[in-house]
Amino acid sequence: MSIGHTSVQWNRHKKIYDGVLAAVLLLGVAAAAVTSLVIHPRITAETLIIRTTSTAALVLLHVILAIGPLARLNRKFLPLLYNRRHLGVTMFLLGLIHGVFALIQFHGFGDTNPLVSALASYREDYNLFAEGFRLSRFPFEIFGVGALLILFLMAATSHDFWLRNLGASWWKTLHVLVFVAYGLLLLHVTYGALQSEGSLLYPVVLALGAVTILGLHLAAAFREAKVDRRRKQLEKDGFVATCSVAELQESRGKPVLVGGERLAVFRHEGKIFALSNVCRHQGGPIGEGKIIDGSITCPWHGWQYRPEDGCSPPPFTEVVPTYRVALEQDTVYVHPQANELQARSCGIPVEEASREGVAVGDDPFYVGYLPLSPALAGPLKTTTVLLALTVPLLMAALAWAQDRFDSGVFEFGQVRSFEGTLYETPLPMLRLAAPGGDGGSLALLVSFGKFGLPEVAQGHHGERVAFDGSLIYRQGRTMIEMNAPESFRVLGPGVALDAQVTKQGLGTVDLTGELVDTKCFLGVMRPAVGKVHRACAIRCLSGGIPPGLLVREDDGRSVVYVLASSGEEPLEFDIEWAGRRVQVRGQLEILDDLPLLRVETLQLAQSSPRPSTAASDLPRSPALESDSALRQEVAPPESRNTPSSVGLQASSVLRNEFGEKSGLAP
Amino acid sequence: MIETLLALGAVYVAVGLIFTLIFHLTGLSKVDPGVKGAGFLFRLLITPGLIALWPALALKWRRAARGLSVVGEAESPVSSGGLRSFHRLLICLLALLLPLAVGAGWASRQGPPPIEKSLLDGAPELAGSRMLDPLDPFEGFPIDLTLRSQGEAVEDPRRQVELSIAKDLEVPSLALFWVPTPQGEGLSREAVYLGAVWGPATLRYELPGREGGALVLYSLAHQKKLASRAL
Repeated sequence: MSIGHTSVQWNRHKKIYDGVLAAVLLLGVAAAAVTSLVIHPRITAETLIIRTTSTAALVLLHVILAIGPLARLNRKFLPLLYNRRHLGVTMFLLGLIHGVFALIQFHGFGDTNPLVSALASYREDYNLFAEGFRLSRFPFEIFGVGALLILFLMAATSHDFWLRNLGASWWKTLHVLVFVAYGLLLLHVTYGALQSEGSLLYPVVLALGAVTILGLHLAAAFREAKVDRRRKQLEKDGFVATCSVAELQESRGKPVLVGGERLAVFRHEGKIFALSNVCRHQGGPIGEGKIIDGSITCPWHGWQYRPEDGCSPPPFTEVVPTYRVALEQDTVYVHPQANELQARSCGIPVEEASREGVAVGDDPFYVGYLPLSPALAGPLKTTTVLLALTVPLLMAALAWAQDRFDSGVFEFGQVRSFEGTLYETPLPMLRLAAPGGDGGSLALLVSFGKFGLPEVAQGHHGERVAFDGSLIYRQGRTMIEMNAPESFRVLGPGVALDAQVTKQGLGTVDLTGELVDTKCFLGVMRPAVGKVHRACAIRCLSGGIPPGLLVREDDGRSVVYVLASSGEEPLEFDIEWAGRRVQVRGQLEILDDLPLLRVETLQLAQSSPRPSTAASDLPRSPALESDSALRQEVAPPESRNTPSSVGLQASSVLRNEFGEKSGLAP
Repeated sequence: MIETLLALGAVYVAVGLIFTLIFHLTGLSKVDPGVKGAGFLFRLLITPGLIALWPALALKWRRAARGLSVVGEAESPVSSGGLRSFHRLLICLLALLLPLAVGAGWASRQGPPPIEKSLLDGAPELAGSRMLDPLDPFEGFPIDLTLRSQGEAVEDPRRQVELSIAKDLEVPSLALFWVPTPQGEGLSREAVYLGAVWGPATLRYELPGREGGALVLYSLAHQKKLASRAL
């Protein structure tokens, strides 16, 4: 209680409570992390942290929200309520880690303030009616930011200092906003991760969680509402009839309704007392408390008040209002007007006849700083074991249900030296020639972070250059991050692109796929597709990273085509289309080993609901069926039915970037 | 608008930081006598809240400076009925709106794009060719190697190598070369570039020589010969 503030008022129960919390949480996080590493050995540390902390925070929030109504409905859960504050702060810290890492990974190192990027990367989609009504495009980040702000305010004020200085009503109102935060978080998940994740486990678990939480709170709220319902009460001289003496157990309280407000009536040592039902600490129901050592003890956190004057026993200074009590026959009357604070009401003696046969309240009562009643120890252990089993299992299952993604490699921290001819058009790239001079490879060039060709390398088209950088590669496409621009040097004139690069034209194609940024897709971020990654892709494209078209192919693969304009000028498009489905028509050509789609038209594709994944049901690109030039260049369909490719199709284990099973072995 | 809101938020936090510093030094003990003797950790714990809610504390400080009570609601009975109504209202609103908002978001999510025909696999099989015995794979690479030849029926028979690659090889700028004779670590000037190698894919490359030679896998980015296989 409030003799003076300390950082944490530790006692044995709190230490055990926090120890169990830490153990269950560590088990859960470890289970989720290990599962993620098993299914995605190349998952980046940032992605692992972002996913694991978000799952842990959401699971913990459900536990926290369940404790309140459970304790209202069954007193055996009161020990869980005792230190719920530490659960809340832990949950906020997990959410904060998730938010900070997401802010750094998806919005940092770009051309815009990360906070602006988080809230306004695709601001047009705040308008639900732009380009046809589609809820699923609504930015999900703002829900997460809103929830985190509420949780921050709650965590920051989770100290008795704030209860005293904000006042119980304001403090409690602020903390009831946790339900708003809960709603925002469900929207954050639904409009974010669930837009891409294919497993039904996520919506099922979310729905079960929401039904449980809302059901428990509705049950508790309506039970309270029943108690609060005004009914006609007898009045006499301003006193209101509340209950009969026989209903009062010795040393136990009973909440009664007086003038629309709940008060607590206690019977103790032959007298009846009436006090406010609201504990000065966290608004706990004093009337559900018990008299211990002569003081009324709140069932939530054990704060105490003397029944005769409502004052906490010295040296504590809290005080709750007391009320005058009258007895007529067997009925307890309470005056709705509170006494002056600290006035000794002294209570009213119960007549001798009524004292006989009085019931003694002996149901288990929990006070955190007193030894635990054996009647509560059993249920508490059972609940703890259940949580210790279900939380890690649930977190592991949620991690296992993640869509599989291909890897890609980013040689982060490994700097190599490169030498070759630099081209700025059609895209910034370096041609790496074979030692013998025959053949070569084109590597796309980007800077550190979410930027394209560094300034130092601009204006050197067709020149032979050397520099240090780190490789990024996937499925035969190679990119170099020029993260040491000071190492850049010009060696002399190079060879014109057309003179040394092998060029193979594959004709005009129409392709539909997701507009991605090639740097993330090739290996910097895993995965680098879908709505969750959309803001990052927008920042990357805005910073000059070459765009790519991620296409789902008929054998289950997902392949990226690098996009460039059909002329010398940079490709023009709306960067907010990143992460969305677009249709591209253009000339497909392969320069050395780089498939390049020279874009003639680039537009948003028609939206459609989530289709069946059966390949035969899905539309094909009509241009591919009719383009004769293409047929001459591309292997005819029957050529794919070689023994080896049939064998490949038989081993279906992997999923592609769109979360579908691929016909290719992992 | 978001930029303006963030700028206003930054100003609010900056003022909060300055206020918190001054408040810790001079105001805290006047507003709440209970902080006397409280340690550094307590002050640290309340600091984020002070920065966020500094106007509330500033008002209390002002009251304290005027000699008015700052204990909060101790002067009057605390009502809990209003809070219970607020809780009930919030829960009912959530129970009504959340299933709608979540369900609609789930139902309207966009599916994967349509399937397109693969365009990047290798050249077709040589006309009239027959498959020879499979070759041993490159050591350390999940590549099925098959040699095809047009055989004696053709006057100038050609040979083709087929690479069936099951997964991403995770090697940058990987290229396939044919060399007339197996050699050491590097690539000689006699090496003939056949093409890029990536996976997953089925790739076919025509060999320059009618007989013999070797295939070499070489990473142009790592400048390293990775594997070779005599034909």
